[in-house]
Amino acid sequence: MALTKTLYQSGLPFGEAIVSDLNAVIKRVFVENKVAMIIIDGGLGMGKTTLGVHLADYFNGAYVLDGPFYKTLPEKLIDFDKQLMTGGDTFKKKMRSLTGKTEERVIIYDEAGDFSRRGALTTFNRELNHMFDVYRAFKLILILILPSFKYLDISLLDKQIPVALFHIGKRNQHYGDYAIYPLVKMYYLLNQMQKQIVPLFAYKTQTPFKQGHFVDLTPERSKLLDEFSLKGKRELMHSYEIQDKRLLSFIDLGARVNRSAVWVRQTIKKLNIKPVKVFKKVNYFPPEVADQLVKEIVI
Amino acid sequence: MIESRADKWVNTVTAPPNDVLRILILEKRENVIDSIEAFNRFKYQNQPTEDYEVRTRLNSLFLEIQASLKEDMKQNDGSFEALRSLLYSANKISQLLEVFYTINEWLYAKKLTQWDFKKDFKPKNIIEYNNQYGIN
Repeated sequence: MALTKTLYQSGLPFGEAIVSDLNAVIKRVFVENKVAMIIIDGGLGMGKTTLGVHLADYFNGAYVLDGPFYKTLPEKLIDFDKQLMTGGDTFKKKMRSLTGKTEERVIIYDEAGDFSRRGALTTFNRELNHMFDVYRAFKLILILILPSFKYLDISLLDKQIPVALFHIGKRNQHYGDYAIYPLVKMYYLLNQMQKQIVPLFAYKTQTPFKQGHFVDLTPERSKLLDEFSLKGKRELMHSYEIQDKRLLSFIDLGARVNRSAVWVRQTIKKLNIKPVKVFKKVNYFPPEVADQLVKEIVI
Repeated sequence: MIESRADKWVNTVTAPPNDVLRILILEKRENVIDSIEAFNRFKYQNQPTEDYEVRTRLNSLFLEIQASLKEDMKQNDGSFEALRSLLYSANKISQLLEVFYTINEWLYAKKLTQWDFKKDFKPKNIIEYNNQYGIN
C-alpha cells in the first residue's frame, strides 16, 4: 500500500517558506486592522480547495510552532460547514449572518467564478462588491478560490483588497505546486492575460515572488471535503438551473402578482399545478404560472 | 555708480562656502593618502623612509577640520585632546596612521566620504513586497 504524505518534516502541509507571508497577513488583519484577501486559482482538479483549506487551517491557528517543528491542533482545524462556502449565494448568506463577535478568523469562498467581470453590472456582483468593501469590520481573512484569475472583477484589485495570488501550476498524486504573485504582479499578469492568445502563458512572463509545494489533506478530511465539495457543487448546479430557467418560488410568485405567499400556495393547490423542481424543501414553478395566478385574482 | 571690487567678488561666488569647505577637506584627505602612498613606495622597496610628508599633510587635514572635530567630540571627554596629543607627539608612522584612521572614520560618519547610500531592500513577505510599491 502506498503511503500518502500529508505533512512535511516541518509539521506543515505546505512549504515553510510562506509562513512569513501568512504571519504578515495575520498581523495585517488582526493587529493593524486592515483588509486582506488571498486568491487561489488553477485548473480544475488541481487542488485549489485543498490548498485553500491548508491556508485557512494555518490562519485559524491549527499549526503551532512547538520547538523546531509545527504541531497540529485538531480542534483548531476549520469547520467546513461554517467556514467553507461554495458559490456566491451561500457565501452571501454566510456574510450576512456574521456579527462583530464572530469566532471565525477565516472564510473560504470556493467556486468564486460567479464573481466575474462579465457580470460586473449584475445585482449579484454589486452585492458581493459591497460585501468585500465592508467585511474588514468583521476582522476576517478571505480566501477566494476560482478557476481563472483572468475573469475576476478588476475593481477588487483597485480597492487593494487582495494581497496575493496563489497560482497552482501542476499537481500529481504526491504534491501540488504553487507560485505566489503579490498584488503588484497581479496587475502585470492581468495585462499579459489580455494580450496573450493562451492566457496561461501570462504566468511565464512574471517571476513569482515565492514558489512551493503542498501535500494532500489527511484521508479522512479529504473524504469529508470531497463530500462537502460535491454537495456544494450539486447545490450550485441546482441554483444555476433555477436561475437559467427563471423558476419562481411561492414568495417570488407572490411578489409578481402582488399577493401573499399563503394566497399563492392555496391558489396553486386549487389549480392543481405541480412544481417542476423541489430544491431545499422549496417548490419552484415556471414563470408562466404567474399568468395563471393573475386570472385567479378576484377584485 | 562704480561697483566695488568686493561686490564683484560676492557676485562671482557660485558655490556656497559649505561646499567649498567640503572640497577643501576632501582635497586635504587625498593629499594625506598620496603621502602615505609615497611613504609605502620606499618602505616596500626596503629603502630608508621619512614620515615628514605624512606628518605635515595630516597636520593640514587636522587644522582644516579642527573646529568641527572639537565641537563634535565635545560629548566624549578627552577624546579630542587625546587625538591632538597623539598627532603632535607621534614618533612612529603607525601612530600617524592611527590618527588618520580616526579622522577618516569621522569623515565617513559625517557623510563626507560616504558613497554607499543605497540600501538593497529585499522584501521578506508579500505585504513587504506590496509596501515597497506604496500599497499599504
